[in-house]
Amino acid sequence: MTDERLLERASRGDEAAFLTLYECYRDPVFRFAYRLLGSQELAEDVAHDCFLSLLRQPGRFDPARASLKTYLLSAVRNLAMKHFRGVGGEETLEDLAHEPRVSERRGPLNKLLEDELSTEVRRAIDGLPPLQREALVLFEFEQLSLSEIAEIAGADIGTVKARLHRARQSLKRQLAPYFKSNSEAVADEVLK
Amino acid sequence: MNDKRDLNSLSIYSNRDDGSAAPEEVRLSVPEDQELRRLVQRWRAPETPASLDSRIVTAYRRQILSKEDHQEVLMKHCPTCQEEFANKFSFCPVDGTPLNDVAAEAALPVFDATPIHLGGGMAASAALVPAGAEYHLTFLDDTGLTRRLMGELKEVAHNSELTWPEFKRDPFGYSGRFIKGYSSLVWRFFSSKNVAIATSTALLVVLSVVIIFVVTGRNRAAEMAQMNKDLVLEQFLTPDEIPPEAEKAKADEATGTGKGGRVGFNKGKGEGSLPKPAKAGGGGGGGQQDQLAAQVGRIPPPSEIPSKIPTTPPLRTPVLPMAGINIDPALYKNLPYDRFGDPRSQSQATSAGPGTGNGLGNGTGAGIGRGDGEGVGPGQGKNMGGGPYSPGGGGSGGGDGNGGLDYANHIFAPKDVNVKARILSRPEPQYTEEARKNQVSGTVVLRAVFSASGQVTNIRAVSGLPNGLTERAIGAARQIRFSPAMKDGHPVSQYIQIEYNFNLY
Repeated sequence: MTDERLLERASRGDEAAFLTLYECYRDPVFRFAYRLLGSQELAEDVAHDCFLSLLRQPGRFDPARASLKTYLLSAVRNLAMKHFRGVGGEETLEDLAHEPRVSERRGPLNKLLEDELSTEVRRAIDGLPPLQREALVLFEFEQLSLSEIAEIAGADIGTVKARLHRARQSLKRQLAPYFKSNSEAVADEVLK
Repeated sequence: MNDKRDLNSLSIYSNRDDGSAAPEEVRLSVPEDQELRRLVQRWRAPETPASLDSRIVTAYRRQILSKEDHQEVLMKHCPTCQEEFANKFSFCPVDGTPLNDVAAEAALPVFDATPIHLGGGMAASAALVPAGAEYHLTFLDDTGLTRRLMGELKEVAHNSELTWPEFKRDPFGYSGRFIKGYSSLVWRFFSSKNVAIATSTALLVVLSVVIIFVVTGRNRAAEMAQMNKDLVLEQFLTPDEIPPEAEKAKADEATGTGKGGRVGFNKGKGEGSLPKPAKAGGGGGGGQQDQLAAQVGRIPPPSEIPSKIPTTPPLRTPVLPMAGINIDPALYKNLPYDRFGDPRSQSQATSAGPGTGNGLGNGTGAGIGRGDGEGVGPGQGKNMGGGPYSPGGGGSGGGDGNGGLDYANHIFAPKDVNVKARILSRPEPQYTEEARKNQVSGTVVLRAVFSASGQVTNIRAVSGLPNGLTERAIGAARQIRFSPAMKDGHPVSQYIQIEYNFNLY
């Protein structure tokens, strides 16, 4: 049964259809929200609102334009952007695209004291501007195509490519000490 | 240089768009990119919490319930007057305060309570007045009828579009769910507070009214049926069969038991002592407040000094007349009764009648009859003849007897007789040869008189047929044997209408 059909039945009160949809898209929605917002609680709230917005206005989903997954991730993205605006005050999309969120002044020695490398990666990704972060997450974690990402982000593919490029550049700078090619140099520096 | 290299590496995205290769399979041109991807993939997202599942399911159920209970969701709340209004209002119709969705939020806190982390902008905007919103002065929906109708039709069409594929796929299942859904809706409606009581009361009231109307109507119909049953259609009358009003009045005014005239008890057509013929008038009445009608008897002799009329004859013949009534002596006749009374009465019981004034009858005065005065009959003053007093002329006269009716010679309408004429035998007329040849058919209507003597007289064709059929009908009518109509115990003549049908087949 197609997502559209399931959604139609769910909106008419078929709980089984709704649960089928929810089971299918629960994890991608939550993961994306989590990776955008960096908080499990926030991600849960956003995922909750995302599914409810789908139920309250099922007609807004147009299967001819995009898949349901793309639609849901767009909703997550919009809710997350609303959160960022609420936290940061009156910010423009350009602000969201350029402002770094985490200090880059952390030395590699301190980072080595972190329990896990994944934590450092998360911090690095958290430090990305939201627009770059969403492009990176969608591409690397959700395995979406550029066109799908462009659809979600409401931008053209070239813009998405540019955001991905900047995100990668930023991550390379932050995570450079953890690259294998640099590990020996780091060890030497520590020994000195 | 570095930028150029990295941009080249973005070609992997295009590859993914083509669907020709997964990201992992794309050969990255720069080792750093591979390193970066390896590092990034180490960031593991946590498992979706179970609390999200429960929240979502709960919210979904509330959402469905709220859709079913549409009115509750689509209400707005006025923070000033604390009243709720339909969702279409943007301002309170009472005090003009902008409405918000507080009522809906109260019903559905999960949906409408915007999470704090999202900034709360939605909650704030809920109370804002929409730009360009209209101010509704009244509760009345000012949307045009056509627009509302179109909206309803669109809604129906949309619902049909949504539900038709489902119905087509599983008609029985869909029907079952449909019935179940509406049953639950009805059940929830009637399980609301006081709804069942109010509905039952309304139904009882309506039912009572209907029952009252039905029972009343049935009784009325039964009464009408009984009345119709009592009314037996004996005969149709043509207008000329009905006695004219003047004749009826004449008969009513007539007094006496004589023959030939209108008024008086003697024979002759005169109406009084005056030398020239003149119409007599007047009358009288009386009674002594007895229970029974006035007795039949002779009238007292004429006297200008009337006195109380005794109802019983004297034991001895009096020297002086016992009583007298004020009538013209030319109209008086000593009738063959041994006591005084009303000659036209049918009552043999001893009674002066229920009237007053020491006379006889049910009128007022010292006279006899239902009039008012000292004479006889329905007139006033004295004398007889009806109407006000008037001395008549032309000599002695006589009325048609009892009320002016001549039982032997008068022809009565069927409705004026007590017992209608009853046909004993009625021969059918025969076709004439000529009529048979010409195939004449139809109805001959005759009017005739069934006389008191048992003869069919005065036969007249109301509508006839050619070729001798009318004559045949008249001949057959002459052979009718009947028992005459009866009125007041007398055999009387009666008009009758006879129809003969001539049919060849």
